[in-house]
Amino acid sequence: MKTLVLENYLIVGAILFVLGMVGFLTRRNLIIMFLSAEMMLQGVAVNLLAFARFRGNMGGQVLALFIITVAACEAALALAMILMLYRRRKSLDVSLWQDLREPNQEATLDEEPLPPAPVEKPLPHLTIAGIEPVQEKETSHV
Amino acid sequence: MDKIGEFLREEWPVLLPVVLGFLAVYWLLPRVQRDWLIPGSLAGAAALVSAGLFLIKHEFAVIEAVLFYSFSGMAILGAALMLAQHSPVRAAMSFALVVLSTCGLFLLLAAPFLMAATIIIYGGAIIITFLFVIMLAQQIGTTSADLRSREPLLASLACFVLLASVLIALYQNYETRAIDGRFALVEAKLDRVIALNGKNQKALDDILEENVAEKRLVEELDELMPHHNEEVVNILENKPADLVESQKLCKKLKGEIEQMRHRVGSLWPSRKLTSFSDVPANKSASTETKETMPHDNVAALGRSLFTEYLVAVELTGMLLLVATIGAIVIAGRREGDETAREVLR
Repeated sequence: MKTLVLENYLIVGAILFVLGMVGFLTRRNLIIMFLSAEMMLQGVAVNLLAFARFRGNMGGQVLALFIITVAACEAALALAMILMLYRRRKSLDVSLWQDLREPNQEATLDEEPLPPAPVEKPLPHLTIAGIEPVQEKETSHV
Repeated sequence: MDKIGEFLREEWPVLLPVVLGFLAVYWLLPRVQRDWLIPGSLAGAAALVSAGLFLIKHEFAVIEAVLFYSFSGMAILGAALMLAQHSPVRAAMSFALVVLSTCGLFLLLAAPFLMAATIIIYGGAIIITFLFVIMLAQQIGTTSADLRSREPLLASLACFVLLASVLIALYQNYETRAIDGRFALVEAKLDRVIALNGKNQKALDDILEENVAEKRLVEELDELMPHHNEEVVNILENKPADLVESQKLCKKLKGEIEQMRHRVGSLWPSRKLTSFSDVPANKSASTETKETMPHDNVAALGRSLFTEYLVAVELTGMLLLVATIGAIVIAGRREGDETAREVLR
């Protein structure tokens, strides 16, 4: 008879919200920041539906429906703005827009250098037919 | 120092998963030198397991608990993967995992309509995001922005302090096992009164006087249900001579305790599902159906939307219209619109 309690769902909602918040604050790709914001909304929706279920009240579900609507509006606007920002700088890096910062803020610079790009191995050359390949001398280590 | 020690001793079931989760997220966030992937994943797994062991409460391994564990575990796993991925395509895939498992949670929470709506709307949103990723990000490949994260230590510290405070507040407020135990003792006692048969005034008196966890039944009830003070005294202190009468009162009291447990106790979901059609939606708040869910979810949701929340629905429609116009205005500019770009620069 006894099953899950309300607190379990609230915990899951809080964890989703906080992970979305970490993503929004740390990630620098505009699209991933947008996805993180959507994830925060998902956490809130879980909370609302849990309250609706455990209070036996439809208000929570109605509010979650409104959240989905607002998320749809946000997606439309955010993707339009991402498109526009991309057209300006040809990049999704949000740090390229840090000249919008407050006057007394210092710019963040990337200190750590990127690792060198992996060197692609040259394709093996086939020996030309008809010429005997150079034989390496076999050495015995025995 | 004592207070800190006491705090740690009391709240360790919350603090342990939070600290492990903090370490996992901090180590897994993208950076150029990824030396901490394995300890990060181990810490993440430990955080998930310890949260499942210490934070989540349930009594029996019923199917609902199994589903809850798997859905919420997958949602949190997907969220962590989304944070850790370098590539935006993989991040969008992980977000799809988060949305689908959250939809499973919605279904567990008796919201089938919202589950369907979320799958349709977020499914569309994710496909559009994929289009964007393929259109924009795939042209340039993995850039330096994807390989770095901004202030990973400060950001994850701030967020996990928030998580710890939320979870501690939840843990303290919903720590209901003690009060559940007391309610269960009182209920068992009342059951014994109800089960008495024949004229047995002595047994009735005995049961009422008997200690319930070091208190008399009357005092215990007084403490558990302070708002029902007089009624409790009326029922039990006067010790009605008629056994049948007192049994009737005890049954009534048990019903009240059930209601009380919905408010202060462990907040079990309301088992009873009522037909919503015989109660008007705008009356539901004041009648007995207050703590029950209607079984016809879609009909009840629609009724509720178009009676109680009609203004909000209209406003939401307006919001959608404005957002559509805004998106067209923002994204609709042509490449050749050089003058506007120069002005804006």
